[in-house]
Amino acid sequence: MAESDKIIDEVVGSDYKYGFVTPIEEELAPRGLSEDTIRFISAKKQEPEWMLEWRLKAYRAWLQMKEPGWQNVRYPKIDFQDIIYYAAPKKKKEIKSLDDLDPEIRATYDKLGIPIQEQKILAGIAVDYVMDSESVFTTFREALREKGIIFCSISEAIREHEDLVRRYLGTVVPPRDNFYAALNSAVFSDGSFVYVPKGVRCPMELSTYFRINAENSGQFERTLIIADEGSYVSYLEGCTAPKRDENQLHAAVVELIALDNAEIKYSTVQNWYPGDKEGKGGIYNFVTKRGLCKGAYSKISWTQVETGSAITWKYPSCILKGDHSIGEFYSVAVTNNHQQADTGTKMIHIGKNTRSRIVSKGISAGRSQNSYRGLVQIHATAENAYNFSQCDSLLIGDKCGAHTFPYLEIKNNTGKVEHEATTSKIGEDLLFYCNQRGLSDEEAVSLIINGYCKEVFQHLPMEFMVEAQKLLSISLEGSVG
Amino acid sequence: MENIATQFKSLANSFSKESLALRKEALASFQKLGIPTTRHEEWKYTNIKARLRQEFSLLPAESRVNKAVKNYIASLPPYTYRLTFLNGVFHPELSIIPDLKGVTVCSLREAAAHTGGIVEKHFGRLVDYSQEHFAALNTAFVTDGAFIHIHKNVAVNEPIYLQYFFTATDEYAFVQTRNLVVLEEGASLSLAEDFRNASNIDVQYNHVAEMYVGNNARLDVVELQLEVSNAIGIHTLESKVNRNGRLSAATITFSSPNTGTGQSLIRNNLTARLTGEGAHAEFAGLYFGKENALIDNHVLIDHIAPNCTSNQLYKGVLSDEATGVFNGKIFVKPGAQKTNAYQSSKALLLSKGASVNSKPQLEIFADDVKCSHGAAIGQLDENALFYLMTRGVSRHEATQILTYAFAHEVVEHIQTKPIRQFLCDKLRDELHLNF
Repeated sequence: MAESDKIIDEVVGSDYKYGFVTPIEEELAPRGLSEDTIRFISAKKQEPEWMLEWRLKAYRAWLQMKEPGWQNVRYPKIDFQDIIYYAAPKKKKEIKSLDDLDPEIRATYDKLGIPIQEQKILAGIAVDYVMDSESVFTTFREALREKGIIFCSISEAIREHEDLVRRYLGTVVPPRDNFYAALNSAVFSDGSFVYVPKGVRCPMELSTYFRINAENSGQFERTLIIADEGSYVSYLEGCTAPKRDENQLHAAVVELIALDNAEIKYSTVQNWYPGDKEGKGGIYNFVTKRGLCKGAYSKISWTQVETGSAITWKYPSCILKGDHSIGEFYSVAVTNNHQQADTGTKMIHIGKNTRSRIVSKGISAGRSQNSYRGLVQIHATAENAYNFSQCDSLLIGDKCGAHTFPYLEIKNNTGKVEHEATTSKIGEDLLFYCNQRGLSDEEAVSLIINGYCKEVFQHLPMEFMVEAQKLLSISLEGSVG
Repeated sequence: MENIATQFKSLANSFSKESLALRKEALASFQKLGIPTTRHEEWKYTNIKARLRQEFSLLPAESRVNKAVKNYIASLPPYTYRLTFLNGVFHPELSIIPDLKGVTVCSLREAAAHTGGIVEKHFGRLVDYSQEHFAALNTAFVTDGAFIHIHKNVAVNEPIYLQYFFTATDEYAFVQTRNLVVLEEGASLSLAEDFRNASNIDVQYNHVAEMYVGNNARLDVVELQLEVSNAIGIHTLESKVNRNGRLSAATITFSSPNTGTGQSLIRNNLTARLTGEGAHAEFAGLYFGKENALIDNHVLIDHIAPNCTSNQLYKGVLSDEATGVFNGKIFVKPGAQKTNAYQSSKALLLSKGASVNSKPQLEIFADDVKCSHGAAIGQLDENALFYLMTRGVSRHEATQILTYAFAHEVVEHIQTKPIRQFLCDKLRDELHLNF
C-alpha cells in the first residue's frame, strides 16, 4: 500500500516545531556536582539550615547508589559531573504586570501559542511560568490567597511556609527512594508548591509551564502538592523545550498528598525536544511522580500525554493507603523516530475498599520503542480492593516496537484484578470502512487515532485537551490531520 | 562450586563422548551463572536459592524399585507404551517400548551410542545453556533420559508415557532428568510426562526436554505433576516448531497435602519457538496450590516466522498459604508479520493467605500483528454461588462445582482422550464431586 508508506514517511519526516532558544542571561552554578555545588544552590535560594542538611544527606545517599539499568531503554552513560546544576534567569526586578516581563520571555509565550493575557482572561488560569529553574511569574495569586490556597515556587514555600514543607517534603518520595530521586533531593533547583486548605475547592486549574532553557543545565524540579481534608485541586503541567544537540537530563520529583476526602487531579502534557531524525540530542526525562492517598475516601488521578523527550522513563504512581481511596492513571504515550518510552504506573493498594483504574495507550512509529510497565499490588490488608487495567499499543511501521510489562501482585483473596492488553496496527477493515464513507487514508488514520486516545483525552481539562490533540498531530504528522 | 567440578569429572564419561565439549561448555556456563536469586528478573517471585539445598549431589542416586513404585505402576491403566525412569535412570523392565516402523524409542544414552548423528545434531541445541541456570546444570550433568524419534509421515496412534519416579533416600540428591523428542516432517505423536515423588522425603529434581516439531508435524504433550508435593521440581520444555507444524502442551500441577518438612516448589519453563510459516503453538496450564506450595509457570512463545499463531490459557486455584506465579511472554520478532497471538491467565484466590504474582508480557517488534492478553485475579462470582444455593446446593459444594467448571476449561484443551478422561476424574476426586 503506497499510500500508507507515504503516511509513514511523513510521520517519520515531521520536524519538531517548537525548537527555539530564548537568549536570556543566566546565572550558572559551576559545572559538576559536589557538596559545594549543593551549598551554592542552597545559599542562592536562601534556604534554612535544615534544608541544606536534608540536601546533603540525600547527596551522600546518592553517592552510595548505583544507576539503575533494568528499564527497557538504551542511552549513553550520563556524566553527572558534566551537568550544570543551577541556572536562574537574571532578573531580580519585581513583576507586577505582564508589561514588566522580559520581552524575550513574552516572545517565547507567543511562539508557544499561549498568549498569557488571553489565558488570564479567557480561561482564568493562574500560570506559574517556570523559565528554567526559577519562578519568574505568578498570576492570580491574590485570588487564590483569598481562599487560603498557597500556590508558589517551592523555594518560596521553603522560606515562607517552612512548617508545611518540612512536614511533607520527602514523605511520599523519600530521598533514598531511587537513584534519580536522591539526585533530585540533593540538587533540586525549583518547582511548584501547592497547599489547598480544608474544605476548599480550588476555583481554577493551576498550571505551570516548564521550559528547559539554559544549555547544559539539567532540570531538577521538585513539586509538592498537598490537598487537605475535603479539598479539591486540579494541577496542569505542560512542557515544550528548545532544540539542541546535547542530551539533557531532566530528573524531576513530584509528590502529591491527599488527606481525608480530598481529591488531586494532575495532568501533564510533555513535549520536550525528542532529538532529531537520527535520534541525536533530545531530553532524557527520568521522573519520579508519586501520590499518596493518605486519608479515607481520597482520590488521586494522573493524566499524561507524552509526546516528547528522547527517553521518557516515568511511572506516576498512587499509594492507596486510606480506606476507600481511589487511584487513576490515564496515559497516551507517542514515540516516533528514535524515541524511547518506558512508562506506566504503580497502584499500591494498602487500605480497605480501595479502587484503581489504569488506561494506557501507546503509539509507536518510526524506529521508536514504547513500553508500558505497571505494577498493581494488593497487600494483605487491602480487603475488597479492585483494579482494572487496560493497556493498548498501536504500531505504525514495521521498524518500531511496542512492549507491555505488567506486574500483578495479589496478596488478598477478596481483591479483584482485571488486566487487558492488546497490540496491533490500524486495521485494514477500519481504514476501509472510513474510505468507503469518503474519508482519505490520512483523514481516516487521524480519526482512528483520535478515537483511540479519546478515553484518555477526555480526562484532561478543556484547555489541555486542545493542546494534547495539537501535540499528537505534530508528533505523528501525516497520519493525524 | 569446586564441588561441582569434581562431580562433573566423575560423571564426564557416563554420557556420549561426542557431546563432551558441549557439556563442558554448559558446566562453565553454570559455574558462571550459579543458582539464581530473587534479584534475577525471571526468579523475582520464586526464591529457589533459599529452597534448594546448598550442597546438592548430582551423582546418580540409587534407583531401587520400591514398593510405592510397584503399587503405582500396578494402579495404572494398562498403557500401551511406557518408559519408566527411577531417579533419572532408565528401567527397561518397567517399560513397554513401542516396536513400530519409523519409530525409535529408547534411552538417550543408548540413542547417543547407536543412532548415528541424530542425538548429536539435536541434543543441547534448543536450550540456551549460556543464559538458563538450570538448563546449563542439566546439560552438563546429563547421564540418561528418553529419546523419541518419529520418522517422516509416521503417526503414532497410542500415546507414549514417560514415567519419572523419584525414590531418593538422600535429600541432598538433585536428580537431573532429560529427554529429546524429534518429529520429522508430517509425523504425529501424543506424549505424556508424569512426575511422581515415590519416596517419603523431600526430593529435588531438574527436568529438561527438547522437542523438535518438523514441517506439518503434530505433537501433543501433557506434563503431569500430580504427586510432587514434597518436591522442588524445575521443568524446562524447549521446543521448535517448523512450517505448518503444531505443538500443544499442557501442564497440570496439583499440590496435594504436604507430608514433608519444606515447601513444595514447582517451576515450569515452557518455550515454543515458531520458526516456520504457519506454525501454531497452544499452551495450557492448570495448577492447584495448597498449603504453602509455590507453583510458578513461565511461558514464552517466540514468534520468529510470519503467519504463525499461538494461544495460551492458564488457570490457577490457590488456597491455604499457596502462592501462584505466572509469567507469560509473547515475543514477536522483527519480520514476524501477520502474527496472531493470544494469552489468558486467570487465578482464583480461595483463602486469605493465598497470593498470586502475575506478569503477562508482550514484546512486539512487527506492526501487522494481533496480540493481546488478559489477566484476571479474583474470587468466584457471588451471583453464581447464590444461584446454586437457591437450588439447594450448600455454599461449600457450590464453590467446588464452580471451581470444577473454572478448571475444566483447561482440561478440555487436552487433545489425548485417555489423558483428558483421567484428568477429569482426577479433578472430580480433588474437589470431592461425585457426578
